[in-house]
Amino acid sequence: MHTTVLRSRRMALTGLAIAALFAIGAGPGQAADPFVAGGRSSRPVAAQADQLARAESRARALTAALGIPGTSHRATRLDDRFEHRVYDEVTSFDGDGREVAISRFELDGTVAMAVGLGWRPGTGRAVDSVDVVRPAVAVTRAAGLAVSGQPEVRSSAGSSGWSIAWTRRADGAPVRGDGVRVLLWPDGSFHGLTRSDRPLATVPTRTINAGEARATAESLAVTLFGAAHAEARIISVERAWIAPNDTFGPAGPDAPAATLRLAWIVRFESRGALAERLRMVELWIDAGSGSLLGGDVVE
Amino acid sequence: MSRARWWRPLVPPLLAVVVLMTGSAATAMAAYPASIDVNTSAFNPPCDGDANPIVPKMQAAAKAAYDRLGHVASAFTGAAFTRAATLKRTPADWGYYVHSHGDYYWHATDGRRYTGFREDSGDCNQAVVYSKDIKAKRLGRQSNLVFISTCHAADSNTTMPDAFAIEKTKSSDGVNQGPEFYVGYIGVQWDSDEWTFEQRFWNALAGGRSVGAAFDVAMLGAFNAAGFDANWWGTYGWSGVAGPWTTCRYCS
Repeated sequence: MHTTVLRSRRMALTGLAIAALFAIGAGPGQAADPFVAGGRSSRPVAAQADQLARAESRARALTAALGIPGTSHRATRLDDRFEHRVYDEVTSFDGDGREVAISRFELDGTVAMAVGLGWRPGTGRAVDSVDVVRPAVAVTRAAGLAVSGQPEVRSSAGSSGWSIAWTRRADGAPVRGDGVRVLLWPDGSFHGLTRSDRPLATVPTRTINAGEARATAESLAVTLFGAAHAEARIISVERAWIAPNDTFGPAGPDAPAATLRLAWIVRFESRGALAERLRMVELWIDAGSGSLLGGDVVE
Repeated sequence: MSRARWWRPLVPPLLAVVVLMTGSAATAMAAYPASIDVNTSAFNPPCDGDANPIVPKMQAAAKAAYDRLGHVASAFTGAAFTRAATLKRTPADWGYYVHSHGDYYWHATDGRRYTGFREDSGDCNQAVVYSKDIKAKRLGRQSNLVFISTCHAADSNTTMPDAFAIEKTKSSDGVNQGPEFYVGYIGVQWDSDEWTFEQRFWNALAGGRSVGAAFDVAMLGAFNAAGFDANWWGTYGWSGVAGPWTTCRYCS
């Protein structure tokens, strides 16, 4: 009888485990798959206890330097298949167990992201777009990040204050999305920080010029936009590093590519009936081969 | 063990499975519907010469996210996403997501502007769904998560939150305005940045973050446009789970 009860309990637990697998919809081999829209982009991966303890120690130092009252910290190593990187994410808690900050660290310890949680626009005197640079630089120093040059400063509703960005440049061209960006509350106190430094492909030995890129884009527009191409005109041609995407290639992966490529960004603006559906379109032309790397649309 | 009782050891595991499956079914039957309206025709053939896969990706991500939050989420596009169909469904919806062309549209009859977005309708002649149309159907009933993935949906003068009875205030630190949260974009934004923002938002929610924390994490993406911006109103600390308040440790 005793054996039967034990067996029953074991089978009950097995049943629960099977049901739980169905409930979370995760198979054992799923972690190796590329990101697919609809799924989660980050998944916990195994890390040694001392690695997680180091991340928590870094979060303790970072939150203290940024003036966030975190008293305890919990780290998880995540594999982010949308961003193509593995990082340690640390949640910081106050004395009441309330989440007060999230920090992310690259595996070499570099700060990748930090944000103070909650909506706290600050009680101090509001700073202007000039004075806000000084506290932003102080935040980067507190996070151990080096920035140089004049940042781009914008008021930001999403940050409920200011966005101060130092865009990364390589081979004389901006690297779209990369660099250091600091979000501050209106009074200049810390809200958020992000740093992106993605791999770049080799600069092509021979590159096409702006005129060749424009001609290629004009030719592609006829195919891509059909009859509507007559209602679109080119308003700029600029060189930049971009993450190739599947905007014009449905067979491509659901996440932007991991390695950025040097491209000519040909921007079209629409008018007439087309503008009621599509305001602007960008075609990203490979600066070396002249092939289409992807693009973007404003609807 | 006698032949007549061979099935008895199987009862506990079967019961366990039944309990869990009944739980899932119960969640589904709690019926907090969410509609996912996505305009694909405007950016794909026949209205556009090429196929644009970003929009279907947004649809798949939003539907999965609302499902994870406990909604009974249904996705509509093409001829299934019309002004009439949206307005017919909206009184029952607790959650709503739309990706389309949006603006602060002139309403000739009223002689004023309202925030709105275009239906899909499966063709290239797409009517505007004004916020006032939605408001007239919902009559102030409770909304949960409302994500208007269009241009101008979160401009300071937007009239769309009011259509879903979401006050344009930010509640945080123990203050709450109910289980509701409105997200939208400011000005005109590029699809690739919206996709990055949305994926980060949905992923953070799936990881158990509050809607406000998920917004803050989403704002720190690697956006192509330096001027990318979004905004929110609602209860920062809310979990995003479908339905009326259940438990909210820090916001009730």
